[in-house]
Amino acid sequence: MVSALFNDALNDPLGVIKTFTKSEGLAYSDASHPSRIAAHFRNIFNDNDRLKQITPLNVFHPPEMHSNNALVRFRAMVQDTSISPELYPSVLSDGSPGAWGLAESTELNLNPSSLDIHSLRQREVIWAVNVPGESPFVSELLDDSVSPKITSELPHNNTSLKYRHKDPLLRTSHIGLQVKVYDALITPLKPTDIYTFVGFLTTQHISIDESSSTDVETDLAFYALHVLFVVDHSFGYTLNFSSPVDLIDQNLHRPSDALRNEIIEWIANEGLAGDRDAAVWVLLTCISKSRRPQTMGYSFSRQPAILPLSLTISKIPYPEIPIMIPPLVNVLRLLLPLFVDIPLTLSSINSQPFFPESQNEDLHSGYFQLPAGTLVLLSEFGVQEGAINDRGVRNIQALRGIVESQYLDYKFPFVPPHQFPTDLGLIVLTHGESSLFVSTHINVPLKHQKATLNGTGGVGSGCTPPGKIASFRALIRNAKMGDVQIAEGISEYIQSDFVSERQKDQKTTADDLVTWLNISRLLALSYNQTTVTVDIWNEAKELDKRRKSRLNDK
Amino acid sequence: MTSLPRYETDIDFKDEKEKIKLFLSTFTSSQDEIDDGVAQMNLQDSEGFRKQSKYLIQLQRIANREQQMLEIDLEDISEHERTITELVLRIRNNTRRYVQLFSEVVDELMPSPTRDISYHDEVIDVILHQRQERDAQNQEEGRPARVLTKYLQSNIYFKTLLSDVALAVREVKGVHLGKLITVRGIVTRVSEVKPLLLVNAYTCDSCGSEIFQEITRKQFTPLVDCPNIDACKRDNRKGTLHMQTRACRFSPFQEIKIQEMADQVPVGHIPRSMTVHTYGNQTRQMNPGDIVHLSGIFLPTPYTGFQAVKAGLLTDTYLDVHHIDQLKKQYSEMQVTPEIQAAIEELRQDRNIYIKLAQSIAPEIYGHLDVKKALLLLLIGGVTKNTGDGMKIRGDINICLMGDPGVAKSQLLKYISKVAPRGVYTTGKGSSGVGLTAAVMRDPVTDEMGGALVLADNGICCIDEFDKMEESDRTAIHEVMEQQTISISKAGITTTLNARTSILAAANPLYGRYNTRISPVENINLPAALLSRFDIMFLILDKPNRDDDERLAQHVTYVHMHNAHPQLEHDTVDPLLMRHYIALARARRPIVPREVSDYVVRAYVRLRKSQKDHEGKDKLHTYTSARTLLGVLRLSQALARLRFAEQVSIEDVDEALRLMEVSKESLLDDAERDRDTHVSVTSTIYRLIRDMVIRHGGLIGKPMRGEADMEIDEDASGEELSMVDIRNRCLAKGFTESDIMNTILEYEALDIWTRVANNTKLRFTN
Repeated sequence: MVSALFNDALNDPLGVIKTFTKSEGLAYSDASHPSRIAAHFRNIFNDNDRLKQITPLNVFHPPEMHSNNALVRFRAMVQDTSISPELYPSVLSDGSPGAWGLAESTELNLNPSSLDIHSLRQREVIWAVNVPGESPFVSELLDDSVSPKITSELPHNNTSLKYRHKDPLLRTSHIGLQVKVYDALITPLKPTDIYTFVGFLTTQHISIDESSSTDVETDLAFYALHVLFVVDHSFGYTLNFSSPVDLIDQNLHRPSDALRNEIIEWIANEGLAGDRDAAVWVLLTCISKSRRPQTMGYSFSRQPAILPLSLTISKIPYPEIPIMIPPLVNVLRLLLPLFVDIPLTLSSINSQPFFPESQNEDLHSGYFQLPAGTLVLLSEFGVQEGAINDRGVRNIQALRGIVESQYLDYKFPFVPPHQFPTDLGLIVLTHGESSLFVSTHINVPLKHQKATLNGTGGVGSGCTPPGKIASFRALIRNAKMGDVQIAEGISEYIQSDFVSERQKDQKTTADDLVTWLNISRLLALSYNQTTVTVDIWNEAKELDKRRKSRLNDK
Repeated sequence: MTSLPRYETDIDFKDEKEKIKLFLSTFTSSQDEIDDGVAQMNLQDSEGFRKQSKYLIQLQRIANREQQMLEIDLEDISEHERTITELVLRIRNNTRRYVQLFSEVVDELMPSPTRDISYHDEVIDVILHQRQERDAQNQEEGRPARVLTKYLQSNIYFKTLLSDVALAVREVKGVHLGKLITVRGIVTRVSEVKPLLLVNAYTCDSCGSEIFQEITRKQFTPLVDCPNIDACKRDNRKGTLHMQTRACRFSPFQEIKIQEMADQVPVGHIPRSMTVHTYGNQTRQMNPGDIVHLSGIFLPTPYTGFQAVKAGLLTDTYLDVHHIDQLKKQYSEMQVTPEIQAAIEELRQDRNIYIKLAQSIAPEIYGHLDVKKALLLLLIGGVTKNTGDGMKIRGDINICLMGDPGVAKSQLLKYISKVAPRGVYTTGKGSSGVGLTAAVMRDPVTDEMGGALVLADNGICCIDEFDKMEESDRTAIHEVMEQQTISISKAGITTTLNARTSILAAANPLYGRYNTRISPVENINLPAALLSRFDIMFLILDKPNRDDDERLAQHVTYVHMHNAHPQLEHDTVDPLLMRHYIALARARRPIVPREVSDYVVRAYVRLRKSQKDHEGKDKLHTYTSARTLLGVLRLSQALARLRFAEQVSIEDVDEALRLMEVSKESLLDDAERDRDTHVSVTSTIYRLIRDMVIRHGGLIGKPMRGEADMEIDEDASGEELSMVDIRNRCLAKGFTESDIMNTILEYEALDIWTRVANNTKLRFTN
């Protein structure tokens, strides 16, 4: 019976809405009607396999491929919630529901004045884009679609070009559309949250703004998704991202040290010319995340208690042949579900938006408007001599804000920027001794064992079995989701150890303590442990001291 | 202007109209009588109106074309009806209908003009006038006079009740449709003012009659056929009408976008915006950047034309503005609620207020109490004086924090810039593209242009990385710090702007870490002339110290263990409350009485003398100049303000001197410092207590000594002081309980005094 309902919901969702409304004795004009429908559908599609049956909407299945009013699921990042809510008639004159885009599509030539003001309901409108920085393997797992290897072959559609400014990474082929949320009970959608929206896809032609006729384009066609129900990914992308279950279990039972060694070896060999220490740092950066304290009701200290690690890999030798993509990019893209690499050049710093900015009540996106948990890799290889203009200075400020406080300023006209919390890991690659633009928490000069960096892009899949990489992913995910306690006894040990370090070396500062604590927590996580032990604390200190001695090496 | 469906209610609108009529013709407000009286002075026939209704007077002015819009204050209606539930509530819930009702009543009540208004006439009026005359001639033919006398609806506005709460844009929901609401926001965009057609006029080619069509919505169908029954209609002539633009009546129309303010947006959300329509006299009232309270009707407007085809039955919403309240003029006025009033009163009673407020500055930063005290005084500031000959003596206190990297200087600066009413935080170099004074930006609040220093006029400018500042900016700082003005010459324009601001600067040592062996001038790459402009300079060093290190390590590990910041040891004053307290304190203008000024002079002379000694020993770290004297006075005034006192007391001066001393000591290296500080605490307390005795004695009859009592070795024996008084006095000066106890014990051991009366009194021994 359930499966029949499931098939109905998949093939004739409108019919399911109508029968459910009738059987439950609801009226379309009830304020809670959309919420009831959402709950009903969420029950029907209650597991991932069922959810997978709904046609996905992504770059491989762009809106053009779907018929009007098709039921689709759209995994997306909320980009802009500033759009004014819209009013729609909940009941049409023939008694059919007006929500979910039906009012727009069914009764075209209806006289607007016959509108019943009492049936008007409000729906929230947001702009969403397909998740920026989503690695191909996520799509393979969640959408069952084998992605074409080369992304440039994707069709450039008009809408995504026209609304390119709404995409954080300014991708020419992305999916950006208006999402209309009818369910009033839903938790308020926040920018950079990731959700799967399930609903009807329609086209929409109106511009929001009719007054400023001077700068209005003639036809602002875009797609709109009328949401039936929403699946929340807001606890972090990794949490709801379910890879095959057996991998997790298998990982939990095997001695994790061996796997940990393998992953470090793999990162070192594939991405870092065999530098194991640097690989450990990369691993730690991958699993670090921001931890915000429970608010004390104190408005001025909103800084997170623990910031995610930021890492500079410096002194990378100049390659013999200039390479476009550092090998580490391919390594990380295979490991992490959310990963963005931004090659910095002076012209991109001076011209591209790094932070979102509101222009004409439209929030233009920027590079760093990214979902929490994304790892950003900045490579400074392309930076030449030159001047930095005003935009560049602001961009660099935005970058520093992320490293120093994990807040990104969104710019709005006339008012001071609004601060939005972020949770972005950062790795900077540079030829120089330190990053040109930002001082990261950790700076590791690369000590390459091999003569040159392996510059070819063909990492991973060839020489490493996919099953192995999947277990690497599981290790990172477990570590990232895990929590580490510092026991009272250890805490005292650490305190006295720090005091004696200070006595020994005056250059040791509080920042060092913070770093060491942070590293030991991350090390414990990478060992799949739940507490920091004295051994781990010492290992963390050793790791950091080795790094510092490298810094002093000339 | 919409086709909003009229919804049926059980309200008898005839009855309502009677009520409105009664209100408009009889209401006289007690407060407004005086205003009106003044206004009527200019009216020739004011006697006749003296006891007339507030609104009838306005109607007369409208009839005389001296006034255009009629604003009906809902407060007046509630006063008239003695309730806000009846008519007022109905107006607020169904505003558009009542605008219509009011205009109908106004049309009925509209008096005829009492003076010649023909020079105000528009074309339509002339036509109407002629038509009236012609109709009068043709009266015998029995044709009804078709006169358009309607007072235009769009010029009646309601002003909401004072108790109406201003909503955020995101709080305006579908349920507010058709209601009178108040919204707060910042204007982000205004359209051009466009004409909106109210009355469309046509002439008929064939019979020559003029036709007037009233337009009530954005869309209308122009007439083409002449409706004249006598000629065209009878002859069935079609398409003879032509539009006469000259005879049409238009109203200005402007569309505005407002956006939510930062404080209305939940953390992590994006501000929403709203479309606002203004008509008639309400246009051109707002500029981008204005912060406004807008009262108006929240209305839906169905998409029209092509959009309607595409959008189906959707409707857009907008706010039809009735009343605009610009907020920028009330910038400095903070709303004092009774709770805050009570809390401030409680604070005033607190004898520990000085320490308590100081500890509340950046409470997450441990220690540095003296620095925080100085920052508190910076927030309060001294008294600025303008002498008769145009000289100005600055009251703002300038402070410079120097120190090793990573000692929370920046956090202190950021906190101050946030708690100060007009604090601006900027870095010397980090914002290279936006120079300190070079960037001309518009202050959203006051509409003035200026760089960071001008933005902080009457506030505090916090400059981080002061040492790395551009030379040109630093030159500007020289002027600001003493003259409190800033001269900008740009694009051929030279202008002097006020920059009455305190400077709070933070600087890093030249070679990474502070070297106590060399002077601050050598440590910081700043000219002495600039350094002398700082009233106080603090050096915050990061020295390994077992106690501090342990406490720090505890704090850091606590954060990592519990994912939360540890509870603070002391309770802090809420920043909002602190702001209010400081604002009140700043309103005081304490004066320096004679004996205090003498005391300051002596202290200054002593400082100069010791400077000379130091010069001899080649140990010059700081420089005492006339500026130091002024600095001491400013600090003492700020301390007096803190107590809400009208006069500066000797204790204030002592504390100011102590802060100066502490700040100077922070610049010395370890060996010297240890020796000095140890002596100073107990001996200062001792002197404090002895001063109390002397004053005490003075009060009960001993003549107050005038000059030359610096070396107080007077006979203070036999005097008794209450321990409570001593404690209060010492706590107020920033000493701790244990400091006091140490002093008392130490001097007791020296047999200077003894504690008597069960330790509640202190008696000086003979």
